[in-house]
Amino acid sequence: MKDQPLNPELFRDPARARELAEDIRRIASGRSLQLMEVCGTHTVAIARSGLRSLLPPGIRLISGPGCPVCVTPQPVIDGMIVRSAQPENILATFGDMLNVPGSFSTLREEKARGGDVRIVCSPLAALRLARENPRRRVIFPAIGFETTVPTAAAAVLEAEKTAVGNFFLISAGRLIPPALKFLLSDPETRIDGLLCPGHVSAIIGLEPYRKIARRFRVPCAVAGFEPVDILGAVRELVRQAVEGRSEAVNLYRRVVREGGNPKARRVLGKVFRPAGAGWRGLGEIPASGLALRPAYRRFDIDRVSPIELPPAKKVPGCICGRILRGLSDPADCPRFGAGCEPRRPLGPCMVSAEGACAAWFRYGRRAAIPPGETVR
Amino acid sequence: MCLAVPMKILAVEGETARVSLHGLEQEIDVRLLDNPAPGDYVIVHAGFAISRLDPEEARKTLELFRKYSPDRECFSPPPSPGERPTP
Ligand code: SF4
Repeated sequence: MKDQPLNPELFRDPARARELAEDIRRIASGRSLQLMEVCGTHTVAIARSGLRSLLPPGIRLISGPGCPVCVTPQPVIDGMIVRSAQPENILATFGDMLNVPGSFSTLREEKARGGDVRIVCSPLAALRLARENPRRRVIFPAIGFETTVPTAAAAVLEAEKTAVGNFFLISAGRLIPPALKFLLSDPETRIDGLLCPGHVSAIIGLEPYRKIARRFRVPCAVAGFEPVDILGAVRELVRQAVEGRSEAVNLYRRVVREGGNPKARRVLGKVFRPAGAGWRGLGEIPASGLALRPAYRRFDIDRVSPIELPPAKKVPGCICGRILRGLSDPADCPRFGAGCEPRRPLGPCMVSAEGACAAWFRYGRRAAIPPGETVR
Repeated sequence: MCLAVPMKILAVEGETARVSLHGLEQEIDVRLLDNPAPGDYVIVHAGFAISRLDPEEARKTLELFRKYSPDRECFSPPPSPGERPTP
């Protein structure tokens, strides 16, 4: 791939990054604008490459709701942890759930106490575990957005086709556009432009952002994850904002098609339907969650085997919710780095590598891109 | 969690494909993609190919992400087919 335009190094060229930053400075000419990076992977990329230090002081990047672990409500986390401790269950999950603090424990603690928690990299691997352990129930927390949920849906269809009866989901998928509409309607949150998530968009395409751009008069740019991608998108957003335009543009065309991935959407829509759902920090948002359709309800562990949970505990002082709404920066939290850090996280924004607190903690002190070096 | 990695398809068999990443081979699922073929670069997420990488579009984007110059005022991306500019 070295000599090809797909070589990611080309999108990490510091000279190009600095040129784009100069453009941004010139176009912004002292204005203050608040741009939201919707996606947790963008949050990490921005922190890691020190892009903030290249931007003029008026251009503020705020983290949005696009960190799946961060926005999953506490009762869902607690339910997952309780189930992992039940001897009839195998809890098969992506690795990033392991340290998420529940109200009373974590998956890692339950595992140490004998709970059967397995790390998988694909819902199909969870399904395989179900086949190999016919006497146990294998539960896969389907936490994630439009990028991830089609893969869980594909596993459900496969389980149905091959008559696997001991594979279940915790159906906690979330949809990005309803959350964006919610935030854009929030009088407290100021958003002058949306840096839209690349891989969610690979599934949903451009149309949802067109509607949002029109209705809320906010510029939207779908962007890739390399520094040049992000700066190019910021330049586009700043330019639109300055010119008073609000259009949805695709700046990640090497991956995102205009119409997204209809096949993945079909699979998702076959198994799930939109349903009202809670988001940590944002509250209840209509049609923003995903419930299994009646034909697939037997895969829904909360329906097949409901559990009673003690009321969820709040982390005192955690301002994750404000961070997810763009109202505060991680550094505004009194516990940031003082009692809360990635090794001993108090809140979900610190536990997920994609969380704003974790990204700021890991890379926070990183300044400008060193001259002559590749930015990553 | 939303990490998605580009990989090159080596061979396709039914709904699975062998891919390579940094010389390491592994199997992924391609049922969410139309007509995957050997030689395609795909974005892989949670064990599934979710999109195909397009080298020509990568080249165009790099072209677009150059410094603005006064004689190159037209720097917004061209509308894609079927896409209408917002009034
Ligand atoms: S630093 Fe910790 S306690 Fe503070 S908002 Fe972030 S996750 Fe919550």
